[in-house]
Amino acid sequence: MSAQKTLPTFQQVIARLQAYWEQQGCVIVQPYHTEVGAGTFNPHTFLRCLDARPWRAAYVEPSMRPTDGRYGENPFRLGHFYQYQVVIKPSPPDIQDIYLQSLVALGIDMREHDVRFVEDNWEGPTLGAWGQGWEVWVDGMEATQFTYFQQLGGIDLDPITVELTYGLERLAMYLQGVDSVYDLVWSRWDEGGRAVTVTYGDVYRENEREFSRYNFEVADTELLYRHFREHAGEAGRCLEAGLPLPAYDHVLKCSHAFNMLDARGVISVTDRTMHIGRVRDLARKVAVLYLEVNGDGREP
Amino acid sequence: MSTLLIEVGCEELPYKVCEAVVRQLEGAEGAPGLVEKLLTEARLLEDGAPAPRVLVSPRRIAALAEHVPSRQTANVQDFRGPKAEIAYDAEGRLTKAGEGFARSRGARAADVRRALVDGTEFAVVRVEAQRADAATVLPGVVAGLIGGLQIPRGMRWGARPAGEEEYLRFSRPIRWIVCMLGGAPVEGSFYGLSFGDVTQGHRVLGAPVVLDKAEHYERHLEEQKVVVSQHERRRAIVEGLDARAAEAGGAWSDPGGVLAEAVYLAEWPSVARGAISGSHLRLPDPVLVTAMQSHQRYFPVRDGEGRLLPAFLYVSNADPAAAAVVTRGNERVLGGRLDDAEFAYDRDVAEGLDTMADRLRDVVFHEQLGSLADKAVRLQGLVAALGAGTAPDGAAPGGNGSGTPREEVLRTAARLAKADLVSQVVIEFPVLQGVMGGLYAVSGGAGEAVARAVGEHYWPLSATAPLPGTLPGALLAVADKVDNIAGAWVAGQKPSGSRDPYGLRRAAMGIVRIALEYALRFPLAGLLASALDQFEVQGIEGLDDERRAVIVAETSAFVRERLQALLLEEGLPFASVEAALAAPAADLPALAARARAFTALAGRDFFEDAVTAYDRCAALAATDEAAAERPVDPTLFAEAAERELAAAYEAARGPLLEALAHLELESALKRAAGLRPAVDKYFDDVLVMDDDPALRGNRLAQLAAVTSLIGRIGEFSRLPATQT
Repeated sequence: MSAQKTLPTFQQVIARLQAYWEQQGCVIVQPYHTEVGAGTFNPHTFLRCLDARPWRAAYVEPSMRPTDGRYGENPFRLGHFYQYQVVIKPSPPDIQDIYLQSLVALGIDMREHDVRFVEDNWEGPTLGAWGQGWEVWVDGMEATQFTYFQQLGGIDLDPITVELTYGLERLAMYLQGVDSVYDLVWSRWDEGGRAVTVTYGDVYRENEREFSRYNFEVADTELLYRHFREHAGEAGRCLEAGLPLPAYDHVLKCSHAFNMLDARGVISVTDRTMHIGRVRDLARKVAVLYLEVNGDGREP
Repeated sequence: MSTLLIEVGCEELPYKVCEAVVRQLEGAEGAPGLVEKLLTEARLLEDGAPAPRVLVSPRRIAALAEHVPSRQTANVQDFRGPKAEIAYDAEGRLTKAGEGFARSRGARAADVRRALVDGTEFAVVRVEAQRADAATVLPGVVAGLIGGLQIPRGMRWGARPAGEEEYLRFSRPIRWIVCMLGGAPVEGSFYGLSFGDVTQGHRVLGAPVVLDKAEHYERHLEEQKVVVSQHERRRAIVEGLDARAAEAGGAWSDPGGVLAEAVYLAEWPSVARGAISGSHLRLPDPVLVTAMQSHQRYFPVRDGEGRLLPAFLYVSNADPAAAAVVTRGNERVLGGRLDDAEFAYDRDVAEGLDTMADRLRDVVFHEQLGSLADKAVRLQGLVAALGAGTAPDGAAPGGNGSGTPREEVLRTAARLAKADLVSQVVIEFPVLQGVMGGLYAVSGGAGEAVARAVGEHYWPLSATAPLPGTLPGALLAVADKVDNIAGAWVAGQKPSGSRDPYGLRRAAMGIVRIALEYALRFPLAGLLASALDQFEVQGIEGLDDERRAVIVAETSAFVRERLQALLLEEGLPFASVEAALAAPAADLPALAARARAFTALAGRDFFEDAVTAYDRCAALAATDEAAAERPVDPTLFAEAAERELAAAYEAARGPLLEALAHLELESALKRAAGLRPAVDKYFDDVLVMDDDPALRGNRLAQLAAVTSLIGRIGEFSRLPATQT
C-alpha cells in the first residue's frame, strides 16, 4: 500500500502542472467566471492569442458540456470536467520536448511508456477557430490535445500560438490506475491518526446526477432561447460601445445557452446552423474590435 | 561520385501526408519523382544512376541518391542566331546584330561561327554551361524539394523569421534539415533553418547523432532506434503481427485498414498483444472490432473458425522491454471503451428497434426533406412499388429466406432501416449504421429476413464492396439510394464536378450494380418518378410537371452515367457502350446486356449484316424527320422489292421484339440480319427519292420503320463505320 500513497492525488496532478508551467514562464491565471465548453473560450486564450505580443499562460478551466452528462452512471463521461490549458505565443521550436517534460513532471517515465503524437486537427465552429496538431497518446490513452492555432475569430493568426489541453480526469485516472472517474482520489489527509480520503465521486457525483437531469429534462427552453437572444443583443450593444471584453462575456453566455438547448434536444438542423452562425459572427466582431482597441502589438 | 542525403526533420506528420510524400518523391513507372526531377534539372544526376531512394517516417522525409557528382554534369548547347547575311558584314566581321547575339548567349564574339541549317547559313554559337560545385546548387534542390511537395492543408507555426514576407506552410513544423554529400555537410539554409549534419534519433529511446557519411544514414538511425525505411517498418510490423497472432492461437485481421497508418505512427515499431476480458466478448463481433480498430488502431485476432479471440494486437513505438506496462495501459483504454460500448449496447437492446423507430420523427434527415421518420415512410412506399415490379421469390439470387410474405418483410425492414441511427452504439460508432440495426432486429424478434434487409441496406459500401445477399436487402438498398438521389435534386443540391457531399455517385453505382446482379428490370425513369411521388405525397412543394420531368431526366442520366462507367471499367469498347446506352431501353440490365452483346458479337456476319441493314436505311430515313411518324401505305408500293421488304419486316418484327424483351441479343440481331437481303435488294431496285412526293414519302416511311425496329436493339450509328 505504500506504493499507492505515492500516486498523485487529483489536486497534486494540478499542483504539479501549475509548478511545471510556472517554471516555463507561464502566467498562472485563474479559471474564467462564466460557463465555457473548453479552455479555449477563456479570454486568456481566445483574445490574448489574436495579437502579435508574446504571451504564455496556464490555467485550470472547468468545462461544461451539457450533452456529455451521463447522470453520474458512466465511468468516463461528465457534463462538467476540468481541463488544464497552456497557451504559448509564438510557439517555441522545442515545444514538443517542453511538453514531454511536463509528463515527466507528472511522474511518467518516458522510457517505460509509449508516447505518441497522433494526427488530430481541431475546429471550433462557434469561435470561427481551427488549428492542426495531434492527440498525444500515453500507452494508447489520449493525454493531451496539442494544437497550433491557425485562425481565431476568423482572423489568420500571426504569430502562431500553440495550445496544450490536458484532460485532467483522464490523466489522473491513468496515473492512479482507476477505472472510474468517481474513484479518483482527489485528496487525502490524516484525521487524528485515521486516513481520510476524498474521491472525485464525493465531490462531483451528485453534481453529475442533478445537472444531467436539469440539462436534459428540466431546463426551461423558452428561457434559454430568450437568454440567447438577449445576450446576443447585449453583445451587439457592447460592440457598438467599443467594449470588446464585456461583449465577449455575452458571447460566452450565448454559447452556453446554445449548448443547453442542444442538450434539451430542441435544436433542429436549421436552428443549429443559425445559432452557431450567430455566435461565430459575434465572436468574429469581438476579435476585430479587440485588436482595434488594444492594437495588434506589432512594431510600426 | 558521392551519395547525397537530404533529410527534412519534422514534427509528427499525418500518415496520409507521409504516403503522399513517398508517392510524389518516388514518382511512378515512366514518371520520375520529384527527387529525380530536381537532381536532373540541377544537373546532379549522372546518366544511368540508380533512382534515388525515398525514406519517410513520422518525423523525417529523406532522399538518398547515389552517384551524385561533386560538380554539375557537362551541358553543351548550340544556339542559332540571325541569318549570316545579317550577322556578318561584307568583310566577314560581326555586325552589331551578330555581336548582340553573342552577348545574349553569354559568349565571346570569337565563338560565333557560321553553320548551314536547312540550306540557309546562320550565325551559331556553342555554349558550355558553367559547371558549378554541387554544394552551391544543392540548397536550391532542398528548397525545391520542400516547396515542390503538394501537401493538402498546410499549416503555419511559430513566428515569421526576420526578413521573410510570408509564412512557410507545411503539413507540420519543420525542425531540422540535413544535407550531406558523401562525408561533407552542405552549407545552406532554408526559411531560417541552417542545414547541418546532425539528425535526431527516436524521441525517447534515441539521441541526436552526427552523421559521418551520407551512406551511413540508415545505420546511424538504426543505432538511435529509428527504422527510417517505410518498407522495413511495414515488414517488421507484419512479421510482429504474424508472430503475436500465432502465439495467441489465431490470425490477425485488419478490416478497417489500420496497417497503412501504423507504418507511419512509429519509428521503432514493435507489436505486442493485450487481453480482452472474457465478459466483453459477449458484445457483438462488429462492435468489438470497431472498438478495437477505430481510434485505437488495434488488430483483432480470430481463431481458425473465424471467432474473435480475447486478444488484440497493437503496434508500439516504445522500448519492447517496456511492453508489460504499455500493454496494461492499452488494455485499460480498450477495457474502458468496451465498458462504454456495453453500457450503450445494453441500453439499445433494452429499448428495442421499434421504439427507436418511433424516435426518428425527432431527427432531421434534411431540412427540406423532413425527418428520418418521413424518410422511413418514403422507403416503405418505394419498396412496395419495387417489390410489385419484381419477379416472385426465388427468381432472383438470395430469395427471402423465410416464410413471411415478401411485401411484409419489405414493409417492416423499410420502417426499421434507419432506426439504429438513434441507437447509443451508432452514435458512438457511426460506421456501425445498418450493422447494429440488423443485430437489433434479430434481438427484437423481427425475423432473419427483416434483419438481413436492414443490415444490408447501405450496401455496397464502395464501388467494389459486396452487394446485398438477399432480394429484400437488394430492393431496400436500391430504394434508399434512389430516395437519396431524388432527394438531392428535390432539395436543389445535386452533385456537381468534384462536389458530391452525399456520396450520390457511389449511391448510383450501387443501384447499377444491384440492378445488374439481381436482374432488376424496373424502368429507370419510372423508378425515379416513383421516388418523386413519395416526396409529393409528403407535401414537398414545387414539384410541378415540368420540374418533375427535368428531375426524372437528369437523375436517370446520372444513374446511366454510372452504368457507362461500369461498362467501360469492364473493358468494353466505348462505341459498343455508346450504341447500347443510346438504345430506347428502359432498364439497366437491358442496357448492359446490349453493350456486352455488341462487344462479344462484333465481327460476326449476322452482327455486321444487322448493322449494315440499319445504316443503309437510317442514312436516308434521317433526311426526313417526319418519316417515322407516317404509316406505311402498301397501296403505294410500286416495286416488288418494296413488298418484299414489307413482308420481311412484318415477319421479323414480332420475334425480334420478343427476343429483346428476354435480353436474347444474339437472336434479336439475327432477326435484324435477316432483313439485310431485302434491304440490299430494295436499294438495288428502288429509287427512294422519287419525284412523286407520295411515293417518296411512303418509301422514306418504310425505311424509317426498319431503322426504328433495328434501332430498338441499339443505336448502331454510334459504331465505327463498317465495310459494306
